[in-house]
Amino acid sequence: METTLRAPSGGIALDRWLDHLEEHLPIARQGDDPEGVHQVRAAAARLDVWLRLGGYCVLRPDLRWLRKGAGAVRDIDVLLARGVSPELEAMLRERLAGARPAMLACFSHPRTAGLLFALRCLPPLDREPARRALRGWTRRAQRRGRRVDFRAGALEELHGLRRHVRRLRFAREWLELPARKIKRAHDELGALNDLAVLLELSRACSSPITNGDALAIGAPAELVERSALQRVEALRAWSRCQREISAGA
Amino acid sequence: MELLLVRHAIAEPAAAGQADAERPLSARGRERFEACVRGLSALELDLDRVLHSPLLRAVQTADLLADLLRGESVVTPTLAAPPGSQLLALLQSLDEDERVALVGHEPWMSATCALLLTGSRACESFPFKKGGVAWLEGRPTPGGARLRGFFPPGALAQIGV
Repeated sequence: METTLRAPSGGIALDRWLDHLEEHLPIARQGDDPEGVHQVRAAAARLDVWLRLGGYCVLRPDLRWLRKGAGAVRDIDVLLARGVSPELEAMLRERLAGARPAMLACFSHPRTAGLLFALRCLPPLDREPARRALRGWTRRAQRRGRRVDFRAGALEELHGLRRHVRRLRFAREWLELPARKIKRAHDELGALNDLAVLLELSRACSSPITNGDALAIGAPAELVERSALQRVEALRAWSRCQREISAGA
Repeated sequence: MELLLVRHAIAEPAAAGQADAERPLSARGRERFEACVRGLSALELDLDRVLHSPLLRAVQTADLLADLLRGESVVTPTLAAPPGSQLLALLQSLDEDERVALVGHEPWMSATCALLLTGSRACESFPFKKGGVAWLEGRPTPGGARLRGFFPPGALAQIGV
């Protein structure tokens, strides 16, 4: 099976992020640099948004499967990078050792080869339908944002908003529209999510609490406080990106 | 298990410098296959899963089946090659209660049909038109299935009117 390089056109080609995905798969496989796994997931998320902009239903489940295959390793990499207590680190390293073979099996699966090949065959997207899709997503994200209680709402609500923001950010990047402040909101909501995961793990890992040896990253009470502060940061970033969200959509 | 073997819809001829894998569906092919999908819908043949080849014309044909799809689509290179043990293993890994569409190419769709119905890959008896569908039921093993219907695209379009 062969593909050819397409001539540039006025459409939106996915080559940049498909190249990125293909470049980082070997790095993720090797396992020395956590950035490899992160970039595989980042590229897959952007390609998913590209498919949505084009109205495709197929291939999105395959990308989701690939992202999920690398998800457990990425979650652990994020936590290890934050610096945790020796007890929690030991638990995380054990989990990492269990998660990596599953990720490698996913990367080597024929489904991944088929996905990469299929993506390479797709023609560039027309801009106007993509812009129409973005306008709809913008309205939905704004509605969602108005409903969310940043200070006291459930984390699931904020996580839902994060997904909307991520989609907007990547769609605007594909359409070459400003997205700097939206990226900031996405990052702040992501940091809140990371704290929630860490808090949950800290509660699951009882030894640092029972033996009085505080986690390097902070005991759960401190994490709760940091989560509250992070909610404020997320609200601030969301408020600041409103003008950017409305512009050009 | 029920299997719908689907040959991709009519595609454009390759443009100069374009790889065969990148040939898109033609406007007519898209329109005709949409009529086929209406026919499948009239027959209440909704799908639990769609497996499709990675070649563009199969990807686009599978995408047109999305309205019938309750579950997920899966891209697989095994549908861009002669049917073999990998394809059978993939089908055998699925739930036996599922109805699954396979979107691929000739002569491999005919060979897959023959293999599942007779245990042999001899495929002269099962010529698929572009957009044509064979409806099989049974086990995804050589000779393990029986034929429930064989629909040229024109017939499906008529059913969908």
